[in-house]
Amino acid sequence: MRFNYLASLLLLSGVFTFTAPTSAAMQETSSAEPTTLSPDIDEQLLCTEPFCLWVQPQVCVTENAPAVCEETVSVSWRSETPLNACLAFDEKVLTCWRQEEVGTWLGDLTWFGDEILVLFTVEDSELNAAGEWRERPRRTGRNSRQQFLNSVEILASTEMQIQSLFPKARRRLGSPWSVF
Amino acid sequence: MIFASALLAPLAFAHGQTHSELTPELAAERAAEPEHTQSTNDTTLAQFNDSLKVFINQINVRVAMGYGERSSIIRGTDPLSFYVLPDVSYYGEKFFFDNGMLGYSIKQSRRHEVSIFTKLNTEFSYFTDSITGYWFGDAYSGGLSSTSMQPSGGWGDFTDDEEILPDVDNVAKRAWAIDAGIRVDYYPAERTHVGLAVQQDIRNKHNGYSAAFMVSQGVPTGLGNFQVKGELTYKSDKLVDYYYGISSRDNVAPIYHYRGKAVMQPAMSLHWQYPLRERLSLVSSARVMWLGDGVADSPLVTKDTTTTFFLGVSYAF
Repeated sequence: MRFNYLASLLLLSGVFTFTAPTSAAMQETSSAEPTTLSPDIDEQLLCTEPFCLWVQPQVCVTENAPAVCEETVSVSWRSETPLNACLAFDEKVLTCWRQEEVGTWLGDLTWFGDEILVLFTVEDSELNAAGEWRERPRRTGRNSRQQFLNSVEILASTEMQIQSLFPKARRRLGSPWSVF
Repeated sequence: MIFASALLAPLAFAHGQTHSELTPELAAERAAEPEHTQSTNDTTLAQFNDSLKVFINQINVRVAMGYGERSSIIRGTDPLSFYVLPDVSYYGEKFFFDNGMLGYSIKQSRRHEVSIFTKLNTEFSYFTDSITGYWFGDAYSGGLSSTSMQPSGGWGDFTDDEEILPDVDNVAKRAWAIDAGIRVDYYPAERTHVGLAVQQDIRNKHNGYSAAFMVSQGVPTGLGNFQVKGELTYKSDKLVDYYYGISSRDNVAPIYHYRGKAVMQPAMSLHWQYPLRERLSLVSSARVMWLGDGVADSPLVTKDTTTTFFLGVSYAF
C-alpha cells in the first residue's frame, strides 16, 4: 500500500571532469551521501584533468507526483589555468569569477527537471568592477534559454535532473462509475 | 482519513508499486502545481486519488456488485435494474478511454485540457428495461412486432385508438446514436473539475446535438470520500424529437403526435466511496435529472425526472 523506497528526497551527487574547455569526455560518478555538499578530498585528488567541475546534488529522487526539487546545491570547479567564468542556472547568472583557478558556489536552487547549470567563460571586459557579468542584450521569448546558451562560450554544463518514483499520471476526464 | 482516502483507487496503487517509472521529463509539468508537494507518501497518494487522477498507460478496471436502479420515464418500461457496475478507463499521454468515451487530448496544460471524443449516446437506453438492452442496444422494436395496434373491423376507429396511450410497445424503435464532439476540462482546484462538452450525432440517426456543463467537487471526510456533481445539459430539438417525438412513424393515434422541443436538463449527483480494504470499497451513487418540458410533455413520457441509485461493493483489479 505504501511506498517504502526512500525518504522523501535522496540526493545524488555528480562529478564531471573535462579534458578541454568543452563538454566532451564527461565522467559521472554518484554517491548517496546527502550531507556532503562539497567535493571531498578524495574526489578532488581524483581530478587529473585540466578542468573539473563538481555539482552536488545533480539528480534528486522524489516520490511526489508534482516532481520539484528544492535543494542546497554545491558547485565547485578547478582549472589548471586561471579563468574568467560565470555560473548560470537556467539563464540566471549566479556568480562570476575573475582569473581564478578554483571556484565554489553554494546556494539554494529549485528545479523541475530540465534546467541546465552552465559554467561559461567570459572576457575580462565583460565583467564590471564588481566582478559581475554584463549580459549581452538578447531577445527574450520562447527559446530564450537556447538563445542564452548559444550566446555564451560554454565551459561545462549539466542538466539538473529529477527522477520521480511516482508513475506518470494525468487527470481523469470522465467521471468514475459514469456508465449510466 | 488519510489512509482511507489513499485507498480510493486501490488499483492505481497496486500498479503504482510495480510500475515505478522514472519520469524526469514530466517534472516541469507536474511542478507547475507546487501546492501538491507533500513530504509523506500517504498524503501524496491520498491527494492523488482525491484529485481523481489516473496513472497513464494502465488499464484501470473496477467492478461494483450490488443493486442499482434507474427509474423509468417511458410508458411501458419498468425501472432498469442492474447488479454489476463496471468502471473501466485507460489513459495514455493523450489518448483516453473512459467508460465508453474514446478521446484524444489536443491541448493539455496545467489546469486545462481540450479533447476531442466520441461516445455512445445513451438516450435510447430509456426505451429498454433490461440491462442487455442497455448494453447491446436492442431497444424494443415495437413498430415491427406489435399487432395490438392494428385496427380491427368495427372496432377500428380512432376513438378506440385514442384509449391506447403511446408506450414503448407501440412506437417505432429508437436507435442508438454515436456522438462526437469536443470537450474542455478545467481544474481550478485540487478536487474541483469543471467540464464543458458539445457533441453531435455522427450516426445520422437524428443529427441532433447536445451540450453539457458540469461541476464536480470531491469532499474527503472521515466517513469516506464524497463527490458532488451538478450538471446542466442542453439537448437540441432534433435529438429530443427523435427519441420523444411521436409522428406517423409510430403506430399510435394522431392525437398523440408530438414534436419534441429542445430542453435544458439539470442534474445533481452524489457519489460516495468508503474503503474497506486495499482493493475493496463500499460505493454508492445517487442521481436525479430533471427531464425538461420538451421531453416531459411527450405522451410517451410519464415522469418529469429520472433517478438512479446504486449501492454495492467495488473491487479493483
